Amino acid sequence: MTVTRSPTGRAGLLLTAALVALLALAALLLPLDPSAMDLGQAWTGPSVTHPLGCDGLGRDVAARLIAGTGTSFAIAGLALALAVGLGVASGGVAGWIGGRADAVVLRLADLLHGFPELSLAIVAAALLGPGTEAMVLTLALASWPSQVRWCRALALSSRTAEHVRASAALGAGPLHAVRRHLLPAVAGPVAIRAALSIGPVMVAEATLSGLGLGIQEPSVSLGTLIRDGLAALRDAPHLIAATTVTVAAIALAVNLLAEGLREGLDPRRR
Amino acid sequence: MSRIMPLPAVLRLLLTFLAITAGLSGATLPAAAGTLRAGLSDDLTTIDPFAFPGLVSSGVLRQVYEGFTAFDAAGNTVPALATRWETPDGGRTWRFALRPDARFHSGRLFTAADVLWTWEHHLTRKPQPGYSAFYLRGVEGAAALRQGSSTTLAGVEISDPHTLVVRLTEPDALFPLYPFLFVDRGMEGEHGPAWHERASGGTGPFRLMSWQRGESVRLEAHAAYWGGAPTVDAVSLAVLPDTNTLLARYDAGDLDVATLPDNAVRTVVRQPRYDGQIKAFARAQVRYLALNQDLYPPFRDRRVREAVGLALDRVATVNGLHAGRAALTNGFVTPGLGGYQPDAVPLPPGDPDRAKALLAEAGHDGGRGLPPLQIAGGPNVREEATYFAAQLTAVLGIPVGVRIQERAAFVAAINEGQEALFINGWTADFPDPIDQLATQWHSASPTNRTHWRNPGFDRLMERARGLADPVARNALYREAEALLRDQAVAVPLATPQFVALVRPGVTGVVIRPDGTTDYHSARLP
Repeated sequence: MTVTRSPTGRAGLLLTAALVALLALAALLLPLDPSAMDLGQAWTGPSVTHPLGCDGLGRDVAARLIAGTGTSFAIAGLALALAVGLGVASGGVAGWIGGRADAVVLRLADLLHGFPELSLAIVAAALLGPGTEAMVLTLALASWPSQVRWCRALALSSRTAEHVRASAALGAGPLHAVRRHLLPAVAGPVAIRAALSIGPVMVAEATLSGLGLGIQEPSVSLGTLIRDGLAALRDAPHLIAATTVTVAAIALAVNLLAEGLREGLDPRRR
Repeated sequence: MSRIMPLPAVLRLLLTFLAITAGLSGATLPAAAGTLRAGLSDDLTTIDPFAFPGLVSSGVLRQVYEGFTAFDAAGNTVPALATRWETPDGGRTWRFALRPDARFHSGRLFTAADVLWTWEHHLTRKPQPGYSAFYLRGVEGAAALRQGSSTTLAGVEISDPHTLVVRLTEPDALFPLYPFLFVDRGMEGEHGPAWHERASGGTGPFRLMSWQRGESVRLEAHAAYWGGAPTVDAVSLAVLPDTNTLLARYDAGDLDVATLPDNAVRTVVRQPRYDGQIKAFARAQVRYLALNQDLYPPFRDRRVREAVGLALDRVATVNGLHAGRAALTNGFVTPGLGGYQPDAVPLPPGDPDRAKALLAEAGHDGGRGLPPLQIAGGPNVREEATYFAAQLTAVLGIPVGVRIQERAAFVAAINEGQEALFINGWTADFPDPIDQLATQWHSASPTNRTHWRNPGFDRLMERARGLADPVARNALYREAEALLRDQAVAVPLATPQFVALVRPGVTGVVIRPDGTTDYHSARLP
């Protein structure tokens, strides 16, 4: 298996497995409704019935953490799928065709790349408004410039590769070149970059929701949990502690996995 | 004449050393004696007394400028710059006797000419009239002055420097209560059009000394204040919008008074370290869950509106969300405002089964035919909106979401009628129920955010405005409130009190029902 070839990848796999097992175990043992409220339990600390305590509306923090992790993963996954899809379509085509199309796409990407991704996301979130769909679109738009440059670079190097030129000289059409040479060449690097981006995108979601620009109640994400935890930081620090540890662990696991994948696919390391 | 003894060299050295170290650590030393230190929940939007101030700026400007009358701590009208006001013709003409001993911060005497100058400036201000132009619309000649066809306000007569007669186009019993801020007419000539950035031009107990944008405001005592000089020398207000920072600064001893945001009250009152330091004050505010019948057609059916109210457990929020520092009534006026006492109509308890039955009667059994719905609000009502959304989801049979926006965006959205269901509130600008009734429910009011219209209600408000007798006026207000209740136009919600942390030994700090903190009688330990 490609990932397990490096110690980094193995560490990532181990951490991911531990996280998944912990979340699955918690979901099985604590079948609590993340939206169920009991004002009498507001801000109670960890107990047997509520292992991570309750928030200001008496909702179980553990149940909300499980639900929030799922939501954040879904949002990050969808946003990256959209960003990668748009990146491959625009960057890949621009790099492969070249000429004026390439110049237009590159200038647009350069323009957007001039802004920090989080600033871009904040502007997009303010324009699109709050909500889950808007958040997916916001994060996809913010990630697009880096994806498009990456895809364009890969397409450009494939187009000028000797084996692609040779196949063209032998009479292969453009469709053949795209299907047999371009896509296989870009798939691996694009997947690795997307995997590496999951952590930062989840953190961006958390930041935007923490700022009130993200998803809205009753939906819950790691970002909304951080926002609620920050509001009660002094008096109920247990609210934010569990969430920040989870975000950090996920970001670490995803980065280790992606790094492991990159090392596994790197021909120089074989 | 006493001879100054030369200080021994060692002592001088010691004093020099102390002075240097004090200078180096000046930022962390306690404030100078006599300066009361408090927090501001946000930065000021303006210090121009002619611009619309908003709640935070208004709280500061009211320390500096005054009107004819003011709020007292119980929500009643008390004289400020007018000592007497009377009407010989049922509110069409008003004669004001002005305080003869009131002086501006410049030292000049306050006179009727300052009142007239302030009003004319509001009406002729460019590019937009001053915010008090709304209250002056009924003064004879106000329209002509605004349009430029006249150069003076014809409806104002000054018989002597301390007597002013105002003629209105129609009776207005509330004219003496309007929250004017009278300005020293010499300021513009001395300091230019932006005089308010350079000088303090009011008669209030404090003069505005500085405003560091986003950081702080400094007020200094007006020694010649007609009500007696304030006890403290100065008030230093730090802009602290973040609750954690506000509390950290209070805990560190940097603040004497910390007014708490509503959504922080219940976390703070749980802390034993604040025992004896929590002060609560009544608030002249109405709060309600507003239903826009234009935007959400099912709300046109009274049964649906009633069902929304019955779906909610509002009583639980008084303790559960406001730690008991809130008042909940079944009405649309703050009891006691201007002496008003509403009819005692108990709040119907939450009854989800009855709510479901009403919805079924209206043809919406199990949520059938109900479009998607969200409770909108500003960031300070997030928990309350989430709590009510869960209860509405359970009763209506459709998922009810929450839409929290930044405050300015939320206010813009409800002013433009873009929200169907939202948490709204209105704090009285002057002590009379009409400020909570007409502003919210009169069909011509720009702040009627539900767009509810009822000609009968409008007539009640117009009649009340012309009644100088408060007893007769209050009878009409009770009738208007009964109409709002009968129509189930909105769902009254608990109104939180103003709550502040006040350092032990600090006395006399009062938050008036309109949200203005009164520092005039404040004393430091």
